[in-house]
This record gives sequence, C-alpha cells and structure tokens, in this order.
Amino acid sequence: MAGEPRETGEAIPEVNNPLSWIDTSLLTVIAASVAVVVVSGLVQVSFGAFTMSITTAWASVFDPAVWTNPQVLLRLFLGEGFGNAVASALGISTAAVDLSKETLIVWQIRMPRVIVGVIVGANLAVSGAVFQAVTRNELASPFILGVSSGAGLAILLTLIVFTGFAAFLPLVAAGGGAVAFILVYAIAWKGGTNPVRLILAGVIVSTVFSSLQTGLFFFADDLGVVQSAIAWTTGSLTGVDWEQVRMGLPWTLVAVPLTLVGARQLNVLLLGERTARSLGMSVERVRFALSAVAVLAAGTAIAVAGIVGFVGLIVPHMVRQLVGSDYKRLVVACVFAGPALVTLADVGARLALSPAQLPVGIVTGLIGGPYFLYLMRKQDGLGDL
Amino acid sequence: MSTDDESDAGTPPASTDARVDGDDDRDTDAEGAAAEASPPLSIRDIALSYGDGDPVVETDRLEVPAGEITALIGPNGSGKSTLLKSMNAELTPDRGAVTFDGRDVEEYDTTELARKLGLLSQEHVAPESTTVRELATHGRYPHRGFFEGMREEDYRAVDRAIERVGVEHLADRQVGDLSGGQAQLAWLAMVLAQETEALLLDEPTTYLDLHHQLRVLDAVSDLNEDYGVTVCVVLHDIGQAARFADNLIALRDGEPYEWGPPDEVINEQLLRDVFGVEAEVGFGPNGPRVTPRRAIDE
Repeated sequence: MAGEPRETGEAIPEVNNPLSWIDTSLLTVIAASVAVVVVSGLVQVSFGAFTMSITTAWASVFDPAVWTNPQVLLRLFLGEGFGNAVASALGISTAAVDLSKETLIVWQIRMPRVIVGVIVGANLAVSGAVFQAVTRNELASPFILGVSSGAGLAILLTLIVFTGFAAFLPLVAAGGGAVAFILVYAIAWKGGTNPVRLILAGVIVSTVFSSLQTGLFFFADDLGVVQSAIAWTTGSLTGVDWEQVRMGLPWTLVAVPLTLVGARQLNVLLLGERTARSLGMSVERVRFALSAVAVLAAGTAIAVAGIVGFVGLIVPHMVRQLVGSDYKRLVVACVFAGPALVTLADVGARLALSPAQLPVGIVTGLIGGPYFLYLMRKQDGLGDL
Repeated sequence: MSTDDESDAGTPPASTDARVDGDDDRDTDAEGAAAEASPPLSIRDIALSYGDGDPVVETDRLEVPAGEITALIGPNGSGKSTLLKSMNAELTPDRGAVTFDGRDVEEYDTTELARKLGLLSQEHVAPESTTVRELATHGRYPHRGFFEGMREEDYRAVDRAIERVGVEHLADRQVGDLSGGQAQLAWLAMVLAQETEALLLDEPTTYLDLHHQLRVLDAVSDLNEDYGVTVCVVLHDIGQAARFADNLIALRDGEPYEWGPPDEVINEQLLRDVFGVEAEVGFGPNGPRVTPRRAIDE
C-alpha cells in the first residue's frame, strides 16, 4: 500500500526543478571566487625573472594566437605527443604556431603555476569537505587527519628510494594517505569515535610520519633531492610545470565529479549513523567509498604541490558559513573557493618577500593556524558537525 | 482481544505456514480503516545482547499486529529500545528472529527494508542550516537510485508528509531555528516521507511539551487510520500509551510481563510489578486511567 501514491491531487510546488538548489549565495561565492582566481592569476603571470609590464602580461594571457589555435592549448594540457594526436583525431590542424616571447613565457612557464594552484585548491577543499561529513567533524581535514603526512611520506619514499614509481605520484600519494587515514581511524576507534579522539590520533600519526619524512633526508644522495623534498613537505607551487597539470588534472576530473555525485550520500551521513541506516544506507560502505575519494583528491593535490596545509580545513568551513551545509551547494562552492584561496595565497607567497619566494604552504599555514584557533574558541562542543 | 485469540491460534512452535495463517485471521479481525493491511512484525524465541554481555531481552514470542498501533512500555533499562533495534535489523539477535511480512528482517537488503519500515530514532543531528523541506526530502533516500534525481512522486511524498505532520508553515525554516517540538515534527515528516508500511518510533514524545506530544501522536494515529500502517512505538507515559495504542507490550527486565489491549494489560498489579509504583487504575470512556500514588521501595 505504501507503494501506491497517497493522492492529494495538489499541484507540485515550484521547488520541482532539478537546479532549484542553486541559490544566490552559491552564485555569489562562485562569482567572487572566479574573480579572485582571475585577478590572482593575472598578477601571478606578470611577475618573474623576465620583467614584463602588467599590460604586456595580460595581453599575452589573452593572446589570440593561443586562443584561436586549439592545438596550442591541447599540446600544453595533454603534452606534445598526446596533444597532437588528439588534435589530429579531432581534425584540428597540428601546425606549429609562432608565439611571441612574452606569450611563450606566460603560457609555458607561468600559467602552469596558476592552473596547478587551481587544481590543488579544488582537490584539498573537496577532500576536506568530504572528510568533515564522513567523520561528522568540523575540524577534520586531510591535514588534521594525518592523510597529508602519509601522502607526503609516500611521495618522499618515491623520490628518494623507489624512484621508478615517479610517474604514478598521485596514486602513490593516495596510497600513503589511505594508510595514514586507516591508522588514524584505528587509533581513534573505541566502539565509535569522536572529534577529539580523531584529532589526537591525527596528531600522533602526523608526528610519526613527519619524523619519518625528516629521517628520509639523511638517506638522500644529493642536496638537490633534499631541497625538492623540503619543498614537498611545505607545499610549494614554485617551479611547477605543465607536467604537474597533466599529472593532477585527470585525477581531479575523477575525484570532483565523484564527490558531486556523492553529495546526497554526504547529506544523509550528516543525519547521523542511526538515521542514515534507517533510511537504507549501508553506512560503512558509503563512508569507506567517500573516504577513498577524499584520499584520492588529497593525494592528487599533494602529488603536484606537496603538503599545502589547512586549505582543506578552512575552505569548507568558510563556505559553509556562506552557502549552508547542503553538500551539493557546499561541494560546488568548494570547487571554486578552494582555488581562490590557494591562488591568492600563492600571490602572497610570491610577493611577500619579493624577490625571494615563499612556499605557498607557509602562507596557508599562517592563515590556517589562527583560523583553526578561532574555530576552537568559537565552538562549544569541539567540532561536532 | 485480537492478540489473545491470535496466540491461541498460532501457538504451536509454528511452521511458517501456521504463522501466515495467524496473520490472515488478524486481518479480518482488524478490519475497519485498514482495507489492505500492512504486514505485521513477529518476534520468535529471541535473545538480544550487546557484545558478549548477558541477554538484555529474551522472549519466546511477541506480535506487533498488522495495521495496529502497539506501544512498548516499561521502566528504564527494561529493553524497550533494544527490542525496537532488533525490529529494524540494527541489532542481530543471538538467537531467534524478527520477521516482517513473513521474512527475517536480517535478510532484507538495507534499502529494501527502509522502503517498508521507517524508524524515528532519538538521534536528531541534522546540520542547523538544513531546512524542514530538505530534511523531509531525505526521507525519499531509499526510493531513489544512486544517480536518480527527485521524481514527481518523490516531491508529492514530501509534500504529503509535511502536510500530514502540519509543518507547511515551517517548510522553509532551518532546523536549527526550531523549538524541540517543531524539530520533532520535522523529523517525523522525514520518516513519513519514506512512506513505509510500518513505523517504529523510539520515545517520540519524550522532552516535548504537551501540544507537540499530541501533534506527533495524532499525525501517527491518523496515518494508521488512513493507511493501516503498522506502528510500534516506545512510550514512557503509561496513560498516553493506553489512550494511543491498540496494544501494549509491558517489558520487565527484558521479558514481556504482559501484552494485549490496554484495558487487559493495565491494572494495579502491573504498575506495582513492572513500574514499582502504587497506583489507582480507573476506567474511563477512553480506556484505562492511571493515577500514580507513590513509588514502592525496592
């Protein structure tokens, strides 16, 4: 009988619209974030060893020679060989295009930094948002839960010991992150878990893994490896290349859509385990699957830029203040706001001590630490979502 | 009455067939509003415990008759909520089984069970910015596939649930801004949007003011009357249980002390033995009336 409609014969209200969840607050966040990314990006491409006026830099970004020749973009995003293959498969000319020196510098050297910043921001923000729902804990993030340190350790091991796996860095990082996350959960588990225990377990695992990371430096053969290893552990966008874009983008295109699809599951998870179960959810399975997606997202970000701390904590929290806790809105907003924070912080990293450049992780750490403190002070029950 | 007749009819340690027969009898008994009755919940020779501890609940046989309202009553720690958990397959029995519609609840796929059996738990932890309508919409979760959006019937079900509970005026308010009673109604709307054949309610009136207690109970009994939904509810207030339910199951130390229609179950003896209170039981037009006098020292 429950299967049959209980007719009341009234009209369907206007909420019957698949896009009704998009509201003005979400659109505002998206618009503001896009503006921040564009401005930060333009600032970013104007600075560097080769001096260039801001107007020249901007003109290079919008150089018609790039935008009217799709093969140029394809080659940049997909690599020389694959880009050409795709271009010819699509019937686009693969002819070489003559670009001005400025355009070459902006597009080949400076743009990747902005794009990688976008990738890192989106992945970390989404990862944090998922972890916060899965653990029902506002203070959760890949950094706090030890995922970052696990991924970092795996990357350092790859760079220093198992150099053969370098091509699979995002997967290696995700693997390390997964191990750390499972460890944290196992330590925090005592017939269930709570925010404080999770965070303490995260601190324990992070501490041990960070020590192992530092310990690895002593096994590095040359100083160059140590230097790049240190850059990894602080999280830096300096010197990233199109190679990082090509490495990170595919996984981002896996993790972000999966999270969007999972938004309804995340919403139901937030109703508590018992309710989620009574609504027919296989809670453990869903939690596990979504955690895996979050670990993949975090691993991707860490593989291309190292451990950029606190983005996964701050962005979902700020966004939640603006668009509310509905995960469809929240995840979409995170995909935009995360890049905004990272590209903005990276402008700070470049300009703060100019001409010296800071790793962006230092800037996000400087913003994130106090924000975390503010969250702690504000919250009555620590972090219960 | 019906339950007692029942127990005679179906007592033999029952093959499934005998059980099904029993159910048929009851349907004819419980005629009236429920044209096509919802399935009953039957408990057979069950032992429930947490972890490795001693059984919290042990009973040979209990029935939550189809299309009727059954209230679980008993003092704190008597096993009411535990019993409810076994009905929702949240707790796997050490032995025995709960059958719903003739099938062990443990055998149901979680989604399948959620389409037929709803639970209003005491766990209410939605994010504060969730609106009442969004919360009610979550009740459609078991009816939607992984990639499916809301269909027309889902919107209708949500509207019906909101209307039945009487929270249309709160539909766009955030749960965090509601009073305890209003929030409980919002959660009830979520469970009703599930449109299940049976409902389990875990202390739905505890901590509510009188107005909202009645709102909750009225919505549930209307649903029972209109659609013959089988209801099993844990209640603390004996008088309320007697007025509201068709059947009572009184639990003491994890075992049923007595079960049947309220006027057969509630008497001074029961109040003394089960609840440890001395009370007068009068009979009014609406069933037994309980006037507690004093607590008996143990």
